[in-house]
Amino acid sequence: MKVYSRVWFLVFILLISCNKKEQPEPAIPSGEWSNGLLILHEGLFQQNNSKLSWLNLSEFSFYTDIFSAKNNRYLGDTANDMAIYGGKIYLVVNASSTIEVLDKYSMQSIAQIPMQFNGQAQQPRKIAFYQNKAFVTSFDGYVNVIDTASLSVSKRIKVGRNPEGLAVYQNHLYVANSGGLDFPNYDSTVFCINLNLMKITDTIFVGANPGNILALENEGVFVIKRGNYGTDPSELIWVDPTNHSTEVVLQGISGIGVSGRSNELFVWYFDHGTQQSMVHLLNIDTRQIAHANLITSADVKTLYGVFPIADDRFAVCDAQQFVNLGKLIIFDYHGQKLSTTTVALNPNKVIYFP
Amino acid sequence: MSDNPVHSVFLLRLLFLCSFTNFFGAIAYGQQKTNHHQDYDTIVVKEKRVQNLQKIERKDFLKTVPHDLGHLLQQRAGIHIHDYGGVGGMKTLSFRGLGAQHNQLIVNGQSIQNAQNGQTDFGLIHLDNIESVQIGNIDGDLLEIPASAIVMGNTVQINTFESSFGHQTHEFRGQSNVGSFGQVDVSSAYKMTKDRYFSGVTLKRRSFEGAYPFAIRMGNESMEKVRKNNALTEYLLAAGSGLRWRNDRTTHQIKFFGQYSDSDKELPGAVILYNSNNNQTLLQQNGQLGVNYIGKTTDIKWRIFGNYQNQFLRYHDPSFLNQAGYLLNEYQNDNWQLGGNGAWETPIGKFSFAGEFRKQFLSTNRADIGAPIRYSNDYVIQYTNAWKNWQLRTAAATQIYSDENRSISHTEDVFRINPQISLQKSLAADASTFIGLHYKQTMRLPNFNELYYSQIGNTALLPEDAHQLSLELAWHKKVNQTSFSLQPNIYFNQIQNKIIALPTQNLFVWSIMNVENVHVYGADLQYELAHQMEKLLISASGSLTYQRALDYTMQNSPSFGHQLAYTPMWTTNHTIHLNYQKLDFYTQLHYVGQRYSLNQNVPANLVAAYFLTDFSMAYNTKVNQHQLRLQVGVRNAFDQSYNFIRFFVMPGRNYFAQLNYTWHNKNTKQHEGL
Repeated sequence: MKVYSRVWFLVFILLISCNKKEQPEPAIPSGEWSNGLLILHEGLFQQNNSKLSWLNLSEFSFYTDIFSAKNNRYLGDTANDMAIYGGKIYLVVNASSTIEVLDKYSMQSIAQIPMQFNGQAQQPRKIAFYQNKAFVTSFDGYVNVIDTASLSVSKRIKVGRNPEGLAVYQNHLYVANSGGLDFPNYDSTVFCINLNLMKITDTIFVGANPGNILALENEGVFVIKRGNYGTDPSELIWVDPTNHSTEVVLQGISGIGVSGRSNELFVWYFDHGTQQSMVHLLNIDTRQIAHANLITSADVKTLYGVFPIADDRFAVCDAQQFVNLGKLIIFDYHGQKLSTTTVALNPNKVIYFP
Repeated sequence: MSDNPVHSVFLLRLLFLCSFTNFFGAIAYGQQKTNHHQDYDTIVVKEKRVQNLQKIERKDFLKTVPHDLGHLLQQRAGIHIHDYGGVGGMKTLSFRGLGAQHNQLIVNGQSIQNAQNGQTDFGLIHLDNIESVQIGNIDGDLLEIPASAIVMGNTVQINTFESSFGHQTHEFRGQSNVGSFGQVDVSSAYKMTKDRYFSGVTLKRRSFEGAYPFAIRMGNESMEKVRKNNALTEYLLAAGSGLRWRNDRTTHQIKFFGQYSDSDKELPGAVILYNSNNNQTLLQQNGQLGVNYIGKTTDIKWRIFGNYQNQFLRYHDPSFLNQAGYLLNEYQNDNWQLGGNGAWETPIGKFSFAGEFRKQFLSTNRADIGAPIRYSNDYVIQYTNAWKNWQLRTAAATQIYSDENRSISHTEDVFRINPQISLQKSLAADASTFIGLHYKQTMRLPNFNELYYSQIGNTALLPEDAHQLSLELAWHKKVNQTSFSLQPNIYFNQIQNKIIALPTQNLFVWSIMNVENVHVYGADLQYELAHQMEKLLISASGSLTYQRALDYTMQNSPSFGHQLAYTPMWTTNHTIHLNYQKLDFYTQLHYVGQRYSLNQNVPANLVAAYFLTDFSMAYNTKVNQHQLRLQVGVRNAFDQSYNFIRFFVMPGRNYFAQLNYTWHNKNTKQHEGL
C-alpha cells in the first residue's frame, strides 16, 4: 500500500505543478489620483468581471482592478456607466443591478445602492446629474431619482420601454427609450422630463431604437437612433430644445461624445459586419464633418468609445472583438497614435484626472 | 405535470403501444409452450473486429452512484463534461476536443436527435434503467449503430433494461436514493423474459430542492450564499417489449420501446454578484417510440428500425423587462427516423451498409424563427477484412441535408462524402489486445438555432468539418490473481469552419459565424487493475486525459495558438475499490485542471483547478433470489468550492444513501444468437 500511496502522491504533485501562476499585479497607487485615466470595463455578462482600472499617464503603469483592491470585493457584472459628481464617483452596474458610490479621493466605497424594486432587478443603465440629484435609467422602464446626499432613491419616474441614454439640458432631462428587449418592435421615443416638476412634459419621436444621448449647452440635444441594424440605418439626430423638432445630422453613426476642442463633437462608427471603425470631428454650428477619418480601422479593431484627454489628446477604447483584453489607445488631434495600453475586458468609459 | 395537449396525445400513444406489445407478447408466450424444443443457441459471434470503444457495464458504473449519465461520463478518458450545476444542471459532452454537436447519443440502437440545438443534455439521462454505456463509434459490425451516428464524430450508446431480453424469467429492481439538499430519487423496474419474448417497464421520480451553500472568494474574504431557484422534479417512464423466433436457418428479433421523461426545473443560472433574483424555469418533456427488427443468417445480418421523437421545451422568465413583462418561449421538435443496416459476410470480406432517413421540424410560439424543416439522408458503406492478425475497415459516409422554412429564407442543401479508415493489429490470440490506427472525416450541420434564431441566426453558415486521427492500444493481461487492462490513445483532430457566436450588431446582439479553425491533440489513458487476495479484492480504475485544443483561426488575434475556453489541459479520475466479503469501500478522486473562461489565455480568464474526493461504503446481502445493497457516502468530502463553468457554482460536501433491491425468480435459457 505504501507504493500505491507514493504513486498517487506523485501524480497529485505532478498535476498541481502544472498549474500556471498568475502574474503579480503592480501595487495600487496611494495618495492623490492625478494625471491618469480612470477606466471602466464592462466585462462579459455572467462573468462578474467588470473592472475599474487606473492608467497612470506619467509612467503608463496600469492597475487593473482598483475597485477590488480598495474595497476587498468585486465590482459586479456588466458595468455600463461611470460619472463624477461632487466628491463622488458613481458606477452603474447593469446585471448586478447596483449603483456603486465611491469616494473620489480614496476610491473606497461610500455606498452600494441596490437597484431592486419589489424583489425584481431593475438593471440600471446610464446616469446623469442635476442639482444634487442623480438620475438613473433602468431597463424596467423608469428613471430613478437618487438624492446625492442620502444616496437613496427618492422617486421613480415612469418613462418608455428600456430607457438607456439620458442627458440634462437646462432644467430638462431627455431620456432615450430603446425598447431593445422587444426586438424587433423597438421604442422610438425620447421623453422630456421637466426637472422642476419631475414630470414628463413632451414625447419626441426620433426613430427606432434610440440609445446614446448628449446635451450641449446652447446647442441642444443629440441622439443616436440605432435603427434595426439592417434596413433602418443608425442616425445622429439633433433635437431643437426650443420646440423639440428633429433633424437628421448624419447617417451611419453609432457613437457620439464631447471632444476636447470647442465647437466640435466626436462622432464615431463601428460596423460589426465589416469590422470597420471611423472617428470624425463634427462642427456643431455647421453640422458638417470638420475632420474626417481622424482614426480608421488601421488604428483600432473594435471601436467602443472615444473620450477627450485635455485639449490635445483623446483616448479610444478598443474592445478587441469583445472577447479579448481591450486596448486603450491615445491619439492627438492629428490622428497620431501616442500610446497603446492593454487593459481589461471591454473598456467602455474613461474619465481623465488632470 | 403536463398541460400540453400534444403531450397528452403522446402519452396515450405510448400507453397504447405498451399495451399492444404486452398483448402481442402474451400471444407469443402461448406459442412458446408448444415450441420449447427449438434450439436457438447456434449463432455466437466472437470475431476479431476493428473497434475503438470504451464500454462500461452497469455493475461498474453503479459503484460511484453517479447522478446521471453526464456525471458518469466525466470519469472517462478523453471526455470533458461542461457541468452547469450538479444535480439537474445541464451537462454537455466534449470528446477529444470535438464539441457537443459532434457527439451523438444512441438509445437502444437509435439516435436521439434534436435539430434545434443539435446537442444532448446528459444531465437529463438517468442511469436507473441503463444496462451498459459504450463510447466511440468505430465498429467493424455496423448492425447496431444507425447511419446518423456513424457519420458523426463520436457516439455514446446506451442500452436500457426494459428494452432488452433478460437472463431471468422475472426481474424486479427497486432503488431509492436520498441525498443532501433535498434529493430524493425513487425508481422501480420490472421485466419478464420468456424463451421467445420479453416485456419490461421502468418508472422513476426525482426531486431536488437544490438550496446548497456556496462560497465565492473575493479578495481576502469569501462571500457565502445559498443557491436559489435550483429545485427540480423529474419523471421517467420507459417500457419495452420484444419477440424472437426462428425460421429454418434465420433468426428474427423485433423490439418495441417507448420512453417519456418530464423535467420541470428552476434555472439558477450563473451567480450574478449582488443580484440573486433569478426566477426562470425550464420545462422539458421528451418522448420516444421506436421499433427495431433484426434478422440473421450465418452470412447475412440485417436490421430495420423506425423511431418517433417529440421534444417539448418551455422557457419562462416571469420578470423579463420587455413590454409584456415576461418571456414565455415554447419549442416543439418532432423527429421521424426510418433506417436500415445490413452486413454480408463473403469469402473476400464483410460488406456492410447503413442508411437512414429523417424528417425533423420545429414549431414554436416565436414568430421570428419560422417553421424550419430538415430532411436528412445518411448512408454508409463499409468493407472489413482480416488477414492473420491484421484487420482493415474502410467506409464512405454520404450525408445529404435539405432545409425548408416557409416564413424566412433557409440554408442551402448540403451534400458530403466523407471517408473513414481503420487498421488494427491483434497482439494476442484473444483479440482483446491490439493496436489500431483510425482516421475519419465527419461534419456537423448548423442547428436550427444557429441558422434561424431571431437576431443571431445566420442562414449562410457552412457545416463544421472535423478530421480525426487516432492511434490506440488496448492491452489486457492476467497473471495469477492480478489482472490489468490499459487503453492508451493518442490523437490529432482538426476542426474547420467551427461555428461560434460573435457580436455583430452591438455587444448585446451576437451572431453565429463560421470563423474558427481548431487543432486538437492529446493523449488519454483508461485503465483497470484488480488483485484478489483470498477474501479481499483490491481494484482500481480510472482515466488520465491530456488535451490541447488550440485556436488557429487568425494569426493576428490575441487568442491565436491559445487553448479553447473551458478545455482543461489535464483531467484525471481514479476509483479505488476494496471488497471484503459483503462489504465494499470506494474512494474516488477527480481532478480537473485549470482552464480559461474565454479563448484568450490570460490570468483574468483563468478558472481554478479543483480536486474532489468522494468516499462511500456498501453492504451487500443476498437471500435466495433477493439481493440488497445499501451504500452510504460523502461527495466532495473536503468541501471544495468549485465550478467547471465560471460562476455556475457546484455543491460543497454532501451526503447520500442509496438502497438497491433486486429480485429474480429463476434463470432463463440464454440465446446469444438471438
